[in-house]
Amino acid sequence: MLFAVAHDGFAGPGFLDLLRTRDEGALQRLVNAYLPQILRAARGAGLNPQNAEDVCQSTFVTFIEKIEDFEGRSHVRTWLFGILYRKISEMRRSSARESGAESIDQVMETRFKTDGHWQKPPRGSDAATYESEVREHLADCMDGISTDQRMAFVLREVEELDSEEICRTMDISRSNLGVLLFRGRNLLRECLENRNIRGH
Amino acid sequence: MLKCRDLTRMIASDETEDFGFLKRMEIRFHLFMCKHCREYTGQIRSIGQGAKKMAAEAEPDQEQLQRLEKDICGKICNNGHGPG
Repeated sequence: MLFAVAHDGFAGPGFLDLLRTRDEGALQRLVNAYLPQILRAARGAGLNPQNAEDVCQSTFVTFIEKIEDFEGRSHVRTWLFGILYRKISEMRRSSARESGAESIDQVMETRFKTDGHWQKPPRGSDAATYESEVREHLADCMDGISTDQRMAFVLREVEELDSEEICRTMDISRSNLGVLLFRGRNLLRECLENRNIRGH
Repeated sequence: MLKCRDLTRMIASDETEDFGFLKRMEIRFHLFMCKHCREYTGQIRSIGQGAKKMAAEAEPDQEQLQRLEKDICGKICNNGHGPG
């Protein structure tokens, strides 16, 4: 069977050799196995459907062009996500829509008293109400966070990668990842809270 | 004694995944005692779950995937071996 290879077999040297020789069956298996995840991550990163498709295509093209550099130490998926991440970063940098996000650190500071207890606690709502608020506004709020924050958030929450794999994908340290997640999640939480206060 | 400010930082940056048993218990105890931190933690989790649901709803259909798969294979399978 063409598609019956287990995913973990993809990291093996035999499979890599096949890819290096541009074995058509191996290339098809690679695309078939990883395209859904790569496309979902591209959409999750905020690209419109057409841009997401384009970036997926160029991710696989780059993967094959650079296959000689791949030493097999990292998982094929990590490498593909890494290429995808760099392509999206380049696109975003050239469209210059990043905003300085460090101010979320200050927003968080104002929520606490000097003794570290809440000064301005989160607005309370029951779980079901909050879920529907998230459903209504999350997509818009996600457009307000930086590419790096969004990528870290999506790889963690949607793709459920562990920290080590996200750090390798984005080429960042564990503490960098912590800062990206902290800022991204708090920006989203603040955005949702502001929208829902205005809406009620 | 764990402060609310520190707890929110640990939760939002996923620091807690590296914690051992005692530190985890300290966090559970704080959450048990502190309504606001419970609220905050619940919201952070709901946001993550919301993103997952949003992605699931935007899943491409099989037809789109197959078409894209064919396009990509067309590009990479001929790479270096194509005519001209």
